[in-house]
Amino acid sequence: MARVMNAFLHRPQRALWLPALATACGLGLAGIGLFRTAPGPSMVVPPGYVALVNQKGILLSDFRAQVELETTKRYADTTPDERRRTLREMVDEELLVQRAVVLDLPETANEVRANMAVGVNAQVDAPVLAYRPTDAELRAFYAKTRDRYSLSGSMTLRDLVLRVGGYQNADQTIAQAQGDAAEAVYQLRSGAALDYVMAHFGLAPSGRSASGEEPDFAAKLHLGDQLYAVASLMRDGEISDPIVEGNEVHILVMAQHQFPKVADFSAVRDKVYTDFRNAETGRATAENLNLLRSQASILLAPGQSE
Amino acid sequence: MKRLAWTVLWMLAAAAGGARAQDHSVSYATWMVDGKMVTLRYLLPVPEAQRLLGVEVPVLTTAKLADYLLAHQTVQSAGGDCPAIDQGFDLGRVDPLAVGPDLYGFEIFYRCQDPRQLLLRDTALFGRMPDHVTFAQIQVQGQRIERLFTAQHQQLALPDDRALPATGIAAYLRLGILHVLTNADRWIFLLGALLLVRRRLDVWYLLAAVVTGYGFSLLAASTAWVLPRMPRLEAFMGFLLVLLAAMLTQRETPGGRGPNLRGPAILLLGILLVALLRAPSAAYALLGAAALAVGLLTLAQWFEGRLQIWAGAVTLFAFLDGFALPAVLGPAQLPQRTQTWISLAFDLGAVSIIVLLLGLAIGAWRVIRTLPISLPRAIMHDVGCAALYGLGAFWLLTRID
Repeated sequence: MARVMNAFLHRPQRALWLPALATACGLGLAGIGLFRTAPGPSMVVPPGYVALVNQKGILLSDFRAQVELETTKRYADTTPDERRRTLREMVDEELLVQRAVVLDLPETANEVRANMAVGVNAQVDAPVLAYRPTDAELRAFYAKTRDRYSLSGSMTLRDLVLRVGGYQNADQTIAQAQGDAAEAVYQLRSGAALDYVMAHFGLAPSGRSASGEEPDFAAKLHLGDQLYAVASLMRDGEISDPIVEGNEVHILVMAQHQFPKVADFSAVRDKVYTDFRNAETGRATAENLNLLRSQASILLAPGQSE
Repeated sequence: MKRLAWTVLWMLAAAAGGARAQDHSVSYATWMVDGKMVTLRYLLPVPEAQRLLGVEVPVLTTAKLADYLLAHQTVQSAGGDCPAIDQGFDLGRVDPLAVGPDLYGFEIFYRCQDPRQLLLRDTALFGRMPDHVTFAQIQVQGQRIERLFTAQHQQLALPDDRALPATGIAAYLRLGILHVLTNADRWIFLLGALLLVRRRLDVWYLLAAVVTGYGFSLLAASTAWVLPRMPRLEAFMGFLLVLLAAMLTQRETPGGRGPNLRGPAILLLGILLVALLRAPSAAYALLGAAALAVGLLTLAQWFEGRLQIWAGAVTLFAFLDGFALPAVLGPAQLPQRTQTWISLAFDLGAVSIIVLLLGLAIGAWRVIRTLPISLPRAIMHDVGCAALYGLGAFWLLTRID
């Protein structure tokens, strides 16, 4: 050591040692810059893996789970034959997956593409789905989206019609029919019996309302938009004004009307919970796509739009 | 001898503008023969494909390459032509493979009427690049045989009654010979090194340096511990050419110790600085080059007349050149033992042509020495050195990445 130090401290030895050192350092640095270490093939299966297939590992945890899934037994209870069979299947599957990657199936096969897209979305959604929302968060979501949780209403009504231009009243005009209908409405509102008024003015059931109670959506379907718009606002025992629809003049008699109402949070908590998760996963998926789009270079051909 | 070398270098200077070292043109094929079915898996480096088709857009390159390969890779048998079969979906007859960012890969299936007298024909690229080489592996009857397809051997007949022999050593020797002959930087470096030869013994030093360099590279490549970064390594060989020129200048320039060293060193470090600005990612290699230059130039001055330091630069050059083949063999996925044998044959070819070139140069020098002519030595020295500096800097700066 002392000799080496002496060589560095005194000429002419220093004049020899320094360039030799520079040469050695130069070779070393150049070696680092000009070469890289070769990734040697692994000849032993690393801990935590059961096999290496073309240097791709099959995890021990995956293997155990697959054995239990296939045999419906605890891993410790499975036989060596069952384990061998499962491992062989997993190795076969890995070979097929590797072949699929080489064949570029994600780019060429629609089924693979669709499954990959689903897989990516599932991965993005996993953290969201693992989170358990608190009641406060659910209530806040419910408050924002309470329209979704309204309970459907129902109505019991009669739709009476005065037809114009029929065989019995061929010369009657719409205006005359409207006048008769207005008189009928007046009498009904004054307390006249329904059967009497119907017989007196020639009013008949339209056949577009059920004999008993029917849900709002069914009533809407049967009455049509124009009549339902009137019916939806009527209260119990109310008589509508005459409504002209084509060659007919209608009078609606509402026996009972239960209006739609928003359900209480406690009654629809399960649905709120499901909707909350759906909304969150939808948001996560959209955010992920936005991120991917921001990082992507997308060129559209002239005349194309998305 | 020196006079001849100077003359050649002077001529090179005149043609420096067109001096480009030859790029390696290689591709890789695996032919799998199974009865009447023959499967071809073909890999082509991306730069090669783009040079072939002149198309930068990968999608277009892939589509055009597929058509090109279908026309240039054919199989025949006793039953006539074996057509490439449609692989279903929308793939057509050539299936593009995903084989990494540096390669294009394709797979073609041929179905023969009769599995006898199979004839594999590969005519791709040889028309456009006569020095192109396809490293092929033929898998037939459970055996895997390495073969070369070259411009001279574009087809291969598979014998029905005996095993197919592997490509002989002569083919790889020939590759090594062509490698040196078709790469201008290699033989210019050797001619430059010849200028530093003063005595008969120095010729043996030069040869020993070459053999040692190739030997070390073979040893390093056979361990498979390291992989060369090829464009950077080729650039470094350009630097070694400049270093050689600096050593020449140092020795030929009159003056004391300081001026002898200062001029070439400053010029060399300047070139390295420009290279560093051009490719900062190659900082380690360039810093190493700078340290090496300073060290070797100082040692050369210190040991002038006693020790041939320039032989170290020659050894390093040969060492780096020894990686030319191993660097392109990777995608062929040959067994390490086979790779070592191929590299050995290749290096033997390179060394033998170097010996021949040096022998020719020395022989020509002896003839010229007998002639009653006198060349302006100083002018030729300066022009020759300038050519070495120029070519070395050109190769360093154009190859560095």
